Amino acid sequence: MNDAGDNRGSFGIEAMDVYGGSASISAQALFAGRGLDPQRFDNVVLNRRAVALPFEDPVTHAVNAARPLLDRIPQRDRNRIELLVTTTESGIDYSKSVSTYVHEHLGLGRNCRLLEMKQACYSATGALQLAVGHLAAGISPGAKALIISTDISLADERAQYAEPATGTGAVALLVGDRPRVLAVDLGAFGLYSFETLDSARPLPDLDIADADRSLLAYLECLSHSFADYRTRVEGADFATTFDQLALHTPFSGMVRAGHRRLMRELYATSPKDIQNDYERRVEPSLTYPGEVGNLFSGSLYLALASLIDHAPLEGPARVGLFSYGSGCSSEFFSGVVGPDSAAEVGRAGIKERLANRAELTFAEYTELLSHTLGCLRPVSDRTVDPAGYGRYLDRVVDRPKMLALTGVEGYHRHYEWI
Amino acid sequence: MTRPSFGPERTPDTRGTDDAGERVLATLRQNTAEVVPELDLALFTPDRTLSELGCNSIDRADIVTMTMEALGIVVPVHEFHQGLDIGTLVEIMRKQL
Repeated sequence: MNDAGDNRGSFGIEAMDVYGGSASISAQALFAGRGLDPQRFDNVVLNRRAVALPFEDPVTHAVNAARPLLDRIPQRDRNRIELLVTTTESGIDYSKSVSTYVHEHLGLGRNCRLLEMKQACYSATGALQLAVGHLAAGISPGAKALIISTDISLADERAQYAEPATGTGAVALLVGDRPRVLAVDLGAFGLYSFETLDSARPLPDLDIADADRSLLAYLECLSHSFADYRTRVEGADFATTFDQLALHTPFSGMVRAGHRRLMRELYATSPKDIQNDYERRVEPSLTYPGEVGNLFSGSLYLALASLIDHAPLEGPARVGLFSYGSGCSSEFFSGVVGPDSAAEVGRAGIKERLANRAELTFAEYTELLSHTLGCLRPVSDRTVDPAGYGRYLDRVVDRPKMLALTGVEGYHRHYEWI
Repeated sequence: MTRPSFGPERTPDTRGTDDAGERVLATLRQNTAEVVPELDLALFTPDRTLSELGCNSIDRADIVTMTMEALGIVVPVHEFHQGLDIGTLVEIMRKQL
């Protein structure tokens, strides 16, 4: 169905890659260091989280996610990238987009649209759907879009239990008419959005969140966006239409609550059957989020990569996807994955690269935090010396070349490959 | 929305004592016991928060969602926020009956 040679008329994700940081800290070390109660995360898949180094920012994350993807595809495909969208809630300028720097450091062609999009954790899905619709309109046959969700964590001890669950990094999606990773079901979507303040980033160094309101908004959006999906897709059934599910994953408890709510609301499923269904259809999507932490707008696509790398995909399988962005806007949509998806995502070696990251102690983590929390604060001039953090980079196994921020001059950011 | 005042001189909390309020309170209490069976229900009083009783954010969302389902009501998301005590939760739900 989504074989590269036989998918005329279908659109979606052709290739993807993940940058889940070059350093990480174990959830256990962070819980112990902060004196958090480990019982609070019972039954939550949370092993580690990514940690940014002081020469990393939303630009370097985006480039470090997309570079290996672009290296794997033929030059003729790279030349057809006519749309580059960075989706982020970690903007670095009110006017100039992250995508301008990303475009430069990825060496993309100049006949290309550059955009940055924002709607909290929903924006990558908004960008994907607009790109798919644009490509499906057929006004530039064979064109491709590159969508990169990229974000920086501002969580410290003030975030309490959210701190161990908040990640940093980026996910790159190449979108086109040979959707080897995910063939999006055109027209099969459901939307639900309304204004609320559940979480936000009102300042470059301040995240605010109301856990209760955010969770209830997420649950309401899942329920109502799927209801809207059902009005557009005849016969759609949450329990039987989708072989696998991938939901926006701020932490796995939220996904569990969402799945449980829909199964209870739609079918009055017993707790035991809900648990079995969760293990079969949802858990494959949780492994990478449990290694990286919440990736903001990349979170859903990190879950999708996890699902493709961990679910048994012997034939075509339909995936139900739910994207939620605080504020709030949400979408339930679907697509088809299969053995080709597993082969394509497998080429990215995500599991190995996550395992190869430098492990940090709690003391190293807090020391780094003092340098990284100000990452988005605008300053006209500063110098960053990546070599000063060599002791961390030396711990990364088989470290690929990475883009690093080396300084800011008159608000212009400078980067180098290290 | 009324917020309770905390302090030693607080007047007795009489919210939720009419029939509708009693029904909401009983439903909330029943769902709390179902979601967190190990909970000491003697602590389930209007001036306490569900967090103080040991419910995490997922438990709280489950309790509130199940209670709304059982009562057949929908409370707008913006009415909820962190740290609501049980009495206030009952109030905002009772308004939707």
